[in-house]
Amino acid sequence: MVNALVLADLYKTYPGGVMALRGLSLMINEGEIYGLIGPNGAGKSTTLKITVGLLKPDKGGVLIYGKSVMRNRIEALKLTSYVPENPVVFKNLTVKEFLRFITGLRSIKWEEIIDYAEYLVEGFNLSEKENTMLYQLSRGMLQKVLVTAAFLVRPKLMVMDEPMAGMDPEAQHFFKKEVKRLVSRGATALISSHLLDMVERFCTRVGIINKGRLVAEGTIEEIKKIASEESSLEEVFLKIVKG
Amino acid sequence: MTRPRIILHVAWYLVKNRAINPFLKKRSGQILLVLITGLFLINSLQYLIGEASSRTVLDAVRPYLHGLGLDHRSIAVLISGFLIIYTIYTLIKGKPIYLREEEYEVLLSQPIGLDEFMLANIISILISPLILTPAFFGLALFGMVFTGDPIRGILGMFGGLILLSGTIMVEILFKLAVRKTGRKLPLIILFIALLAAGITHSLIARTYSLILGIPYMPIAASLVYPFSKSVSLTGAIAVLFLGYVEIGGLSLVASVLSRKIDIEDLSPRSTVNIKLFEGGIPRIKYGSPRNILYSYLFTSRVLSSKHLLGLTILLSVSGLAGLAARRLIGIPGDASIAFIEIFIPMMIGMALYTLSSHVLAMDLRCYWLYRTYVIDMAPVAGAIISKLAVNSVEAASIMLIGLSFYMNKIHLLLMIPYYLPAGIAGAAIQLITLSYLASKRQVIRETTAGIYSVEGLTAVLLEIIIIAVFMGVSSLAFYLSGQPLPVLVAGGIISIIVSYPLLRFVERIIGDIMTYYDVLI
Repeated sequence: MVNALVLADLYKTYPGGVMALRGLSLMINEGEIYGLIGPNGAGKSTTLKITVGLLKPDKGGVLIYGKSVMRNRIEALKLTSYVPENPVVFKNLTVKEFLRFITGLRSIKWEEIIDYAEYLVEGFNLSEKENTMLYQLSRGMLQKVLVTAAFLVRPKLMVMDEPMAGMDPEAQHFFKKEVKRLVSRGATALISSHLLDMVERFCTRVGIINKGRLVAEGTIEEIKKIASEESSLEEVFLKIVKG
Repeated sequence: MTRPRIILHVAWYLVKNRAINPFLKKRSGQILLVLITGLFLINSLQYLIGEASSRTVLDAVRPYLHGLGLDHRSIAVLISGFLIIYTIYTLIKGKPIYLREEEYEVLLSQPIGLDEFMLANIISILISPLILTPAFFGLALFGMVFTGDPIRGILGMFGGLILLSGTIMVEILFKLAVRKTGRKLPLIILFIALLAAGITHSLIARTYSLILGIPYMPIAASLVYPFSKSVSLTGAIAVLFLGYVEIGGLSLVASVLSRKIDIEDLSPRSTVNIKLFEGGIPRIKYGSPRNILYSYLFTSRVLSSKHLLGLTILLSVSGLAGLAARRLIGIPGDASIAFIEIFIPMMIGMALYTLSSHVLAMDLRCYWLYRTYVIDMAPVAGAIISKLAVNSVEAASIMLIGLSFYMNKIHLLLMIPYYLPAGIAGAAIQLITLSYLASKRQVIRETTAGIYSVEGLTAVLLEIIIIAVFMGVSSLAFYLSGQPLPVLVAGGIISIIVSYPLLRFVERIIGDIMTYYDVLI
């Protein structure tokens, strides 16, 4: 089994003294949809930002398909796509310009992916917005644009922070369908979310993070066994997090 | 290994996002573009067919400038001196290089090297102003009206672009230098020594010392020389060339330094807001809603140690500058005084306007919250107006302390209270207009972006009012400063007494408008 992502013993303290991660380790295998859940301030976004090289850990390392993000940043990130927690975009670009910008960074020719781009744009109901400036779009629409860009770059590892926030049900359905399709073709997904119902039904494995540490990990069934619960992930989550 | 294709790709889209699309794809940008270009062309035509007045603004202003001992060279030296101060400020602050959120979150998570991003960023900084050239036609227009020569106007516009790019490059370069060497003290000492030597030499020799021009003279001269008729057009073009050469040199050094850049050297702008509160959350005195709002919006800002320290420094610098100017060029004659009394309040008024617009933009970001939770908006209005009025008095104090020392008119300091009622009136106009516009927005949208472009453009139009108010009070102050002492003191006391009922009156009216407009009406 190929390790798509290895996070080894990550520590991170912010300048203000807040200790966000305290020795977090996890391993995700190729073909998994890994859900990272945890209360606010648990360290989820910090973990994801370290994964894609936006933050430097004080200690520990990140390997994406065996490539170190710290030492071999470009090669590691070539395999990765990222959807940030907040839909920040280049607001004075149009949807189409933004997608061409992001794909161009990977030397992907637009002609090669135009069909897939059209499929995604249609799937997310963005067809009429292709030439709209991004500052004119709502939060949900921006989220769709960022997710479209993340799919378009043909990633082997998708790192997504609350990817469905603000999306309408139709777009959520399309998103899940597309993630499953990409994963069935060898991609891997690391998704942080507060939507526990979605994680329970959608993710193949789940990690629960609290106070900067991974406190439980496994398939939904395994997690439930850890908590000795037969109920929903939500109740198991609350039991684990609150001790 | 850096990849030129990726660097150019990133640079192109950065320029597109920062400069091209805002002007070519936004209606407001298009209107501005057409307006300024049109004005420039009409004026150029007037010049070419010889209908423009033969006496230019430059001709009118030149005697006053000479009276102050200023010519093109000394003005360039002064600008270079300000760039030295800016360098020292950048070094002392030593902050990381702040990026827009999207550049940090979206771009840096892509497979590009940080050095590649920095190089693309540098290229876009150098190119963006060129793309924005149409917007800078405003500067060309100013230059043409000033000198009566469209060619000099255009050269002056490029000079403005060079100064803008140069200032940004100086900031990036020294931030990189501090981050990479980890030793900012030697650089700070070097620039402070240079500044001190320049000032000392200026005071001893009673001239604007060229020492101040050592680091940045080509950049500074680029803005000034095209506007001077003492410099030939060829000479002005040569100066612009040298300005570009200096920027190229700075960019080259910055590029070399950026090769070893670390992700921790870059930071999203949102962290600036967090750092603002690093000194502690404003202490709020709990009590009535009025007390809490005043405590948060007024007291915690105006009486914060950071604000008071900054004010003390500015007052001291102004006083010292006044004394230095008196030593350097002597007490000005009547003609120069008339010029100073118009020019300095205009400059201070513009700075005050920038500050008050920023304050309003920050405060009205929470407009939705006040409208949702605060029953009576009068304290909100009152606290904001009080803060802006105090800022106005502070700006006047900074200006008057310098001028009183320079012109040897200590009576001018007694005019400070006169700015209080005027500041309240000016702030009330600003607040009522912007809150009226903001109240039309859907409350939910206010949570995400605060002030929108319509409010922004309106704020620009309001600039004229604020500057006019400040200049008007300043004219009155200069006029009255010759009156007997008891009259000045009585005027000051009346100003303070009048201010309180005026504040309560406008806060009630604006508060009601802010509370009920578009809810009941």
